Amino acid sequence: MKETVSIMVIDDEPVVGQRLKPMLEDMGHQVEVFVNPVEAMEHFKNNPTDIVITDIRMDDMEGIEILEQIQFNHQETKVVMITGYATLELARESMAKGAFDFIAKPFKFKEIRNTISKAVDAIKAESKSRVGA
Amino acid sequence: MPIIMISGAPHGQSEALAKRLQELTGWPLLGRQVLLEEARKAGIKVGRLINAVIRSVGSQEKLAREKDLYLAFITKRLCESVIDDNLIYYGRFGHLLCPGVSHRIRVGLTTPMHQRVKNVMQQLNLPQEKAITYLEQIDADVEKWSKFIHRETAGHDPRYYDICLNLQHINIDYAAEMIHQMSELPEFAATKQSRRQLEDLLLAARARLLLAANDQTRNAELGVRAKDGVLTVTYMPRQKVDENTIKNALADLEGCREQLCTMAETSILWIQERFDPESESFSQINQLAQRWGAAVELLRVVPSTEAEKKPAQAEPVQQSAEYTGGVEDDGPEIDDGGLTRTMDELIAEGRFAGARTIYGDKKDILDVCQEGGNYSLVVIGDMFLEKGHEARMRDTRELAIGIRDSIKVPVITANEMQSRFLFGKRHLVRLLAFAALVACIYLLVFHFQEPILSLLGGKLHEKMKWLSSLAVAIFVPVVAYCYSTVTGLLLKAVGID
Amino acid sequence: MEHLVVHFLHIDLATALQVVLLGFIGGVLSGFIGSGGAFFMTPGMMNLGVEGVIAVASNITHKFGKAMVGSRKHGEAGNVDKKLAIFLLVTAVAGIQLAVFINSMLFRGGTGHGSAKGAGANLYISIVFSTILLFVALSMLRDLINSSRNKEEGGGPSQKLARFFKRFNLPPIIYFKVADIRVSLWVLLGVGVATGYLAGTIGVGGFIGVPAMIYILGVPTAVATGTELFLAMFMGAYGALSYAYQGFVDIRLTMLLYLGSLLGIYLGVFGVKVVHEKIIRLVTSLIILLCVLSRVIAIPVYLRQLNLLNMDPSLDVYFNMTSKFFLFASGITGCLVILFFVIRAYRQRRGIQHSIRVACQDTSADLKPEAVTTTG
Repeated sequence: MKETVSIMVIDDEPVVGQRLKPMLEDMGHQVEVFVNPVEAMEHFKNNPTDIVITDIRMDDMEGIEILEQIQFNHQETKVVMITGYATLELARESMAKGAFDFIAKPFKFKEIRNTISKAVDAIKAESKSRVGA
Repeated sequence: MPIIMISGAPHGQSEALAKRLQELTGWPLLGRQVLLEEARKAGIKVGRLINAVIRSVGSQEKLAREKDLYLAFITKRLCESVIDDNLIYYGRFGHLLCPGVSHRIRVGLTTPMHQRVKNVMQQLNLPQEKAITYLEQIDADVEKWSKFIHRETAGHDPRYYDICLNLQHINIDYAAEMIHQMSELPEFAATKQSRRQLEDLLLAARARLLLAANDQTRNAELGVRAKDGVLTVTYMPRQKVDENTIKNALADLEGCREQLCTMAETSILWIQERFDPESESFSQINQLAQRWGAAVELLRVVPSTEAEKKPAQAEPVQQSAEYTGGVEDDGPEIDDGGLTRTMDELIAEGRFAGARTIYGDKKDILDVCQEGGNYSLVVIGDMFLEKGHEARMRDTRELAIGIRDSIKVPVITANEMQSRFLFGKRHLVRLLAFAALVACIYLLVFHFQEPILSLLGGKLHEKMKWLSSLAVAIFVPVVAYCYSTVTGLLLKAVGID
Repeated sequence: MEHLVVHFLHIDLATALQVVLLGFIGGVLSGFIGSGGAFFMTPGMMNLGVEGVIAVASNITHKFGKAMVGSRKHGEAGNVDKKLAIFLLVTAVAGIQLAVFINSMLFRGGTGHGSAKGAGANLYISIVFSTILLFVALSMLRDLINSSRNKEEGGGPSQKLARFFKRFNLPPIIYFKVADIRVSLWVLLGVGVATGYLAGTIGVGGFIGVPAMIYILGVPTAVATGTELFLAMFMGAYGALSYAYQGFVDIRLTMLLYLGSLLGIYLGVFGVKVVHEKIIRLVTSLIILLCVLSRVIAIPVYLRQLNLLNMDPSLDVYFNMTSKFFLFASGITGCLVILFFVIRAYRQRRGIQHSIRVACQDTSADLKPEAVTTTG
């Protein structure tokens, strides 16, 4: 059982990572921030993290694609989608494609904090059941 | 020639129908997605609204203003897009937009489920099973959205449409043809009046957006109405705005014949410890305010004992102007007893006059009432919650009397408001029955005075003294009970209770 | 057995109506201030020619049922603290017994409720009555004036005494939920016995009990009224049964009193709910003052009878008449003042409720104007 999880933040706007990183680290997690989604996915292949927080609309790669790739190879990774171009459709599409949660921008710290806590709980519960099995 | 508003479920054929209609008519076309994107660019926090719908968090957030702005923006864009009285709009709730404009054709479009599933499978690259779940969820979301943004739940009610089309048997071309023909009916031709209405809607929407863009008026609660080119802005007493700031903010407003600024005259003060916008009291007060054209001011009272444990309420933090990339600081987290939610609801109804929280007791409440504006009614809701039922009722009543005496304004408790006229048929029957019984008792007693008196103090009493005690012990309460029932009901019938 | 010669009065219509009226006034008073039936109705009936004992007996029987109804009504409004009432009842009974004992020691002739013999006893009672009630009424009035002068206190009754007694927080401390007060058992015992003693001496319970509850225990005014009525029910029951046993109860008189009083008491209780608490205290003190005045006027007569004062016996009549006049005046003015406030409050309330009802009915019709108006 681990309390600390690894989190990858992907957003082409640097300010998002800058603001999220200290907050997530305060929660006791390891955080890596990427501005370029392609680089992020390269890195992820060798160093998969427990949680990925990704923007949806980015230049080089769409967030939905990132979601699909991660879901294909690393089902246990929780993907949280954040986007400034949210629609109800996009939210439901993300969820249908296996996202752990979807948060529209602008959002408050506490919203993402709640989501991350839930994801950590889910990870813990899964690892427990795996140990039990 | 009319404005055509096509409303249909997501991933249906609304867009296709709209496009077909455009080919037929050549009228300008506007879609929901475009509007949403524009609204976002204009700085309206659409994401907040979406979050509120998909993640039932944010109930503590003040979103009423954001909703208002969103609707104002959409209305403005819609009205501006109309060319020669013509426009084709497709979305989910087009039929609810631009109310009162008679040259609208409100089209309710039903796309068969299998078609929508097919669309989703293609557009989103989802397997059939997931596509169906997805559609179910999105339909539920859309329902919530309508309730949240448009405050309407009857999205599927045919009464809201001029025509409802089902694409199960007819194809798009045919549907488009029908609407096209319908649009040539004289009933849907623009009239002077309906154009005026559209202009008024545009004027009010523009004014609202201007007021929201201005630093001085941004945070004020303002009612905006336009009628025949005359814009009326209502502001609530005790706010940091006045006529000048409002007129300054609206200096650039086009198409306005006259501007009127009025302060809301009557207001209702609602005092309570915890508020709930879903409560019976709320809907009653709201109805009353609607009827009187009054605004409602909320006063939340935190009993002083509870206040000692808590720090004073923090002032709302000003949003920093710095760019945050959509990741915003948390506001102060306080349990505000449902105040924000109730405020939100009132803002949405356009009858919000202010809200305050005070920590203290009856005396503090009286102070606040005295310095307050010109109330036309004070409603006292559930107060003194930590006390026992009896003490609560009594304290509430005394508070009511105290307020009435100190500011000479009618005061009513929420309980009194809820108890409408209580005297019903059953009461009447009971009254008559007991009245008859009492009459019988009295007649009997006064008819047979001698034997009765003999029992109580005469010869019979001499023999059996205990009997008169017993008789009195039984008889007196019975008479008192029967007759008091009669008088009680009588007084109740005239409203003394 | 002398009481067999008791003659029950023949009742004609005029007498009956007067008894009903007496009942009404007494009812309003006791509903509003928690007491005041007996002091007014007993002399009133005697004036109509009812013999003293029978007047007292019928009255106390009437009190039993009236207090029952009144306290039930007060109970609905949250004004009766039963727990407090029980504590006070037990201690007050002890106090009354004490009073009876002491008074009978003082006057071998024996003094009891309403049937005092001997001018000495009368004088003693009158003086105690006047001094104590004068003190009570004046303190209440002074407190009222003070509190209306400085708004800081919020206009409630002075809590000085109550706060003073609160310092005796000798355990056990008892919490009374309805009255919302915490009192040490010992303070309660003291207050109960003292009021019982005074009530037993001067024969009017509520005038002592209500102010004592308000000022010493810190009970809200409305609760003091309601609780007093609840207490009175037990006192009334006890009195009614013992008088009935002795054959003095004229049930017809009691029933006629009910005709008026049960209507009056509802009005009085309604008044407590809608009238400012200050007015309750004002009316109470006013009535007590007039009663005191009435009793003070009667004092010279007793003094003369004891040969302590040189006075023409023929003047007795005038003194007695004036005394009676003030007694009735106190009851009638009190009643009128109460009715005035009740009617005023009633009309205000009616007005609000009417406008609200209209508002609530009308709005339901235009809930969805869009759907209704534009479907055609």
